[in-house]
Amino acid sequence: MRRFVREQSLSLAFLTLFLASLAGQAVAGWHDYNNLETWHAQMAGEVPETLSLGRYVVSSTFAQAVTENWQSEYLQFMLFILLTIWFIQKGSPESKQRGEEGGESDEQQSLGDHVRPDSPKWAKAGGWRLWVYSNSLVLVMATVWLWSWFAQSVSGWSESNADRIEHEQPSLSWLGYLGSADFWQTTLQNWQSEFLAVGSMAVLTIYLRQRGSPESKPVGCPHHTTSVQG
Amino acid sequence: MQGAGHRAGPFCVAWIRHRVGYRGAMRVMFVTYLLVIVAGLTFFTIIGLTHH
Repeated sequence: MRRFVREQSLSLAFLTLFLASLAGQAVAGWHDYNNLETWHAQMAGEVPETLSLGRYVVSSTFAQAVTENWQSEYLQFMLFILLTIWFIQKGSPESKQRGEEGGESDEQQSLGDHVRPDSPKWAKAGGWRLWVYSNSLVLVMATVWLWSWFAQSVSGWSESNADRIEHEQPSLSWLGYLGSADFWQTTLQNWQSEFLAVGSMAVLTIYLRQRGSPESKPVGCPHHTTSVQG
Repeated sequence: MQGAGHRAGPFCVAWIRHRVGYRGAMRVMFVTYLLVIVAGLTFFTIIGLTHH
């Protein structure tokens, strides 16, 4: 039990934080929704149509709030994985050294004549299976990004049309919503923060350190050292 | 509820250890994350498409 928890502690910790945060977001979002609905109804002299928590978590409002953040996180990590193949940042532990840009040799990637007996089966296979396995991380991250962006678009579309009907405006088609200010505002407000954060990670780690973290260079490592982790 | 020789712990953890061993635990975490992602995306996509 102790060994299992210790060896999986990073993914267990993040899974716990994720579930707790999602539950917290659901409760806070539910209160926020009902507060706004109550104030709206009071101003219009109507009876507020508040929701139960169970109804709120299956609402487009909640779905959009969750998926707009999911898509931006997966885009961020997908781009980070992809761009660090070709782009470098001197001094950053997140970057490769100058001259190592690109897909690297079979020797560096333990492929072809350099496969190990315990290499993954598809790494030894060659052909299309090797291509798929060589790009599997980005392929999965891109799929999750596009799927969550699609989920954001359909839930935002549903939410937007509910607002439009309430304000006696004509409803939009899905493609019409994809060109709307609401869709791009909710998309780009997430993208900008992710790009700043991931760029900061690449740059701040040149001069700053966190002792013991594999995301940082060792404390005594010189600033100009690239691609060395603690 | 636990197999012979297992130390005390939550049933699911004892079950995972019994079924897949410690190396298989990595696979359990991998599959768990994929299931959470796919289940979440399916759930939220259906909500959006059914205009809830």
